[in-house]
Amino acid sequence: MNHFLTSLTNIRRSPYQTLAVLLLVSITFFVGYVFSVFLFSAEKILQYFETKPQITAFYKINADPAQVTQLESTMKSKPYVSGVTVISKEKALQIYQEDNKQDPLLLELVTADILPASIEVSSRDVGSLPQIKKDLESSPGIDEVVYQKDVIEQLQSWTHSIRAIGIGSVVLLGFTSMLLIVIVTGLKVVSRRRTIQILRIIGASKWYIRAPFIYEGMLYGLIGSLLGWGATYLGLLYATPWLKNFLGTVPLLPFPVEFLAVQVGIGSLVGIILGALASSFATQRMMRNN
Amino acid sequence: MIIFSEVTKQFGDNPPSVDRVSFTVEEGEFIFLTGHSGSGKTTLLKLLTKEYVLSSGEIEFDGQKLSKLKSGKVHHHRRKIGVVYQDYRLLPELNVWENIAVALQIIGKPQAEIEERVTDLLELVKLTDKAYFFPAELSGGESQRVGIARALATAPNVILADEPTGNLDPDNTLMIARLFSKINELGTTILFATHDLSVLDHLGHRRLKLEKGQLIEDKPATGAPKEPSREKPILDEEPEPRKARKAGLKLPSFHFSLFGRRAQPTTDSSAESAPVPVMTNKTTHQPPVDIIIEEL
Repeated sequence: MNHFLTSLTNIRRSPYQTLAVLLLVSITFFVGYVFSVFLFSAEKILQYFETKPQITAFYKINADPAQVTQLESTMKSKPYVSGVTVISKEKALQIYQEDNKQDPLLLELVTADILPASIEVSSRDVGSLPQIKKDLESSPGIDEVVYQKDVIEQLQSWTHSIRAIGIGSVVLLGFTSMLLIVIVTGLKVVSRRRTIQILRIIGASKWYIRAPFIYEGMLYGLIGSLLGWGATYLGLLYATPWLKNFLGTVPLLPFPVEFLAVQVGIGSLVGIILGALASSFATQRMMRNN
Repeated sequence: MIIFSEVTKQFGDNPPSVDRVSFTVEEGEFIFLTGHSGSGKTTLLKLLTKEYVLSSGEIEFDGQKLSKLKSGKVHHHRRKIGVVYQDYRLLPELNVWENIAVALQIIGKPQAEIEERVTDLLELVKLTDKAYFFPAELSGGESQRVGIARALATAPNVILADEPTGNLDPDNTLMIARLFSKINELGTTILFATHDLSVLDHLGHRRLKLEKGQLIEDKPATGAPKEPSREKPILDEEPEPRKARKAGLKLPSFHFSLFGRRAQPTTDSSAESAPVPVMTNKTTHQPPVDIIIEEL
């Protein structure tokens, strides 16, 4: 407790150094938390798509309505198909009008005639998607087949790239934060060199000297992590309406409390360890010399 | 108690700062280390606190060879030694009270005991009214008295004083010297490095003279009373400290005795975990601290 109070005193006595360290550590953790939110979301979206295997086929503009009806009944009869929905030209126009109701000019230009009808076919499992795609492509009047597997693969590819970028950024920022804690702790150690020498001579153990510095580093890590998490959470709250609109039927928001608790728990632990390691490293050399 | 055997300390290729110095310090002895600046007095004291590592030879402290002392145990060794410096070495960010208390906090004493001891020590050095002053607000003599109180706080077996009167005027010098003498009379071994003739002339303790790192003279004590004059009781009804130590008893912290309290001797040798001696008969004795200060 004594060491902890001493570390608080040290922090109070050097507010600008503390501010600099906390700012950088908070940014590091903010980036870390944002990437973890993104990765969690991407994982959830992928799961959503994988558990709802679906292929959408667009008819040619001039496709015969009989062809549409024929294909609908053919697909419904397939054992590996779980559901079929036909979006007629009129229905497609309704969707378009709903999506663009803010822009009357666009609404005036578009009529049902220029919109293609489409058919959405859901599979019982992901493995049947290639067969469904083949069935649709071979059907008359079909212009384009949008295979969800492509979307998933693209999403996975993006997720992998962003994960790599995220890890790289967090490692780089983490290293910079650690270096800054080492430098600031080192400066504080040097500024208290005489005090440390006196304490050593009157019998202070190495731990007695090092403990306040190590606690200080741990506090930097913990507070930085909490600030970073707070900023991420506030950002998330701010963006929630927009994200909900963007994600549509994907049930991602709100994030489960368990995820947020694990996120802040692991982040804080990492922060404490980072701070302890950095300050421990900074004081080690000084201890060798005394 | 302390044995220096062929102790040598050399820095780089320079001539040795301490060159094959051998002498023995008995328990309860008061020794002056004299010699010109650069003669090796401070180096010798720093070798004893393990601030410097021996180049060759050996120092034995309470049966422990310092060359064998592991770095992780050095702080235990240093807790047995009180150190007083010419430049006081007080912590500027702490006030007088805290400067004394820090020595006790380091060894993990409980707060109640710290408060009691610091109060007593402040009374001993007559600085009770300046307990909340910071070092920058004290005179040289006052600063040195705080340094002495800090050195006494942990009831060390030995006190090393490195030119403690070097920055003081004659009156304060005499006061500090007599304070050390009284502390010694209560059983604490003292190594006092000085070249102040007024101190040496006033107190006739054993003198070791160093010159260019070599011990050139070992002059025995010359008649100054080693035991306290009993005109006024300092330790009446207390076990005689040196006899108690020789009998293998853990000496009751001498400052407890100074504070006029009766301590129960114990054979427990664990300095850190030693319980606070039971104090009794607090009111029947005139606190000797006052006697000492009066004598000073």
